[in-house]
Amino acid sequence: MADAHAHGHDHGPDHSHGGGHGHAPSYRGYWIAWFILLILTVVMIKIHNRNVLLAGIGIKSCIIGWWFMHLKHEARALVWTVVLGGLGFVLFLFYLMYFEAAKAIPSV
Amino acid sequence: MSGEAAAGHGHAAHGEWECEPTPFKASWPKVMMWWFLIGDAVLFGSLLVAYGFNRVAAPAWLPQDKVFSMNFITVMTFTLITSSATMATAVAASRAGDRKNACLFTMLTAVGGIAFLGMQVYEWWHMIGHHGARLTVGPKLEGFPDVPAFSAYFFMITGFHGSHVLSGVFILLYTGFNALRGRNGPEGVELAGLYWHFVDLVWVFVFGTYYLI
Repeated sequence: MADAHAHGHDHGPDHSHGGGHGHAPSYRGYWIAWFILLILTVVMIKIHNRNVLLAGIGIKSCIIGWWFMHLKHEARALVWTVVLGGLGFVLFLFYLMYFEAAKAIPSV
Repeated sequence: MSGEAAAGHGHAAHGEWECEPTPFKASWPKVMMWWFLIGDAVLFGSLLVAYGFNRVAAPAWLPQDKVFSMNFITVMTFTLITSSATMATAVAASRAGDRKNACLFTMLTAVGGIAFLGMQVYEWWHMIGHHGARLTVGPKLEGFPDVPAFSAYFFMITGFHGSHVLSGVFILLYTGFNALRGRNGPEGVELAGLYWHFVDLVWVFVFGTYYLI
């Protein structure tokens, strides 16, 4: 997939070759992603449940990163760097925070 | 850039940035943007984790739906998500060599950002003016205790995010004009887009963790 693109060329969701010029652009994929994001936002608000909220945050961030930010077309090494460097570190912080809080507050 | 390459081709004299390939098979500007975004993500993540810890440790917390209008926050969220879709469309148009649409959708994205900022200003005005909240004083709600951390995290998190939106709007306006004049290629629009999508991504976490949970 991404490893085949050796010069940083990216592709839109409906492009076979995004680096070139003169293709008729198709924006449909982006607007489908937009619609899914809106639906998820409404679901998160209406179903006020912590697990649903966390799942909603996870799915929405994946859609934005994978689809809008074109991580799906990047080299695997870059994807892992982003996932581990950004999200992984935050999850690690959360892990530390959660157990620290659990020690301090028995009800957690 | 290796010294040999620079001496051999004289690229530096023309202002070009001729580099060895990155280990990520993407251009250096894009890789640098990603590294900046990772650093920024860690910064926002630390803020939200600190908020989470204080939230759990606080003896009391205020119900968000009594302080904020959730419908209003939802509209803010819709605005930012829509601006992300217009930005993605601008990037696609730019790649296809459609300068007019690249400019149009970049400008629409900037308008979305300005609208979001306007709503955030109203939100701050409401918190300060209506609820009497300050950085060290929580919003006043009848029947609820004063929770200063509620205000402190509200102003810190939304203020930090808002400053990103503000700088993003300037970047978009500049990029949009340049795209129309053909001064920057598809990568310029794409890099601006990466930044803007990141701003939207951060809002997903802020919206979910601060306003809803």
